[in-house]
Amino acid sequence: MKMFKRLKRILRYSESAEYPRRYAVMNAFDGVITILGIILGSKLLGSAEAGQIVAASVGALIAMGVSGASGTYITEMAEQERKIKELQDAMLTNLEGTILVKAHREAAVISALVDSAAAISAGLLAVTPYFLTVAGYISEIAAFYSSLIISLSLLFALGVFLGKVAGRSLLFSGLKALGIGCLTLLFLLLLNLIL
Amino acid sequence: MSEDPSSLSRVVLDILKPHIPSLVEFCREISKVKGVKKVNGIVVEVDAETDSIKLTVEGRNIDFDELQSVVKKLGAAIHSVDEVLVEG
Repeated sequence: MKMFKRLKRILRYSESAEYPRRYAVMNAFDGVITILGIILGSKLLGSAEAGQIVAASVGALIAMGVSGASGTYITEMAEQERKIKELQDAMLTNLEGTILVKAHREAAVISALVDSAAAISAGLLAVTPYFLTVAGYISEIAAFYSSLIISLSLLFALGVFLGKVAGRSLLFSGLKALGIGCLTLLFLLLLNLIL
Repeated sequence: MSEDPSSLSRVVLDILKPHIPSLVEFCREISKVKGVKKVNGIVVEVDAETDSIKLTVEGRNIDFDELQSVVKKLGAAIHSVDEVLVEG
């Protein structure tokens, strides 16, 4: 509770409350679409085994996590430093050592961690059935359909969440996000037909 | 060294602060300073990035050094000390 309060205070002081939310949705979306691409690609365009799909997915997610965290940290830190500079210019004083500067810098770290964690956790959730296949609990075909359902459900849920943020129709927003997943599916089906 | 028998019991400050933390949060933090019993903050002017406030701090044996350091820590700057009451 104390930690949550502290996080809220950091985001309020740095005027960055919406940033982690934005990064979380954006990268969760990336994570799910990437896994969807790996699963569909390996099923429709190739004949990869569950172990290979898990390996490719974990590799892709680690890369996404590292790239997300570092990219967001560098970008956010630059933005936060600009905000600090603007504030210093207005205050005509050096704000180094104040809680405001600390909050701005910590906000960049929070955004980076959220960005990375969102991609990894959403992607892992989508590929979970293949872990079960590797462990010998479910068949490969069951893993494929389960992963597909989980991925599309996650996309729908993210769309619903964005609809809630925007105060728009939850169903429409959810379906819009689901459509992006279906578009990925469509592209890979077309590619499958061409090849 | 003998202890200073005089006690700072009221000080009025002209402060320039960023919009964040809010005046409520700012006064709450000031109220945690040693010796402070009452804090009254009044917004005098609002600019694009800053607020000018008049801060009246009352108490007994107010630790002025700590007060200055808390104001600084909150990202604000004391422009002037407009009124002081010291009791012997």
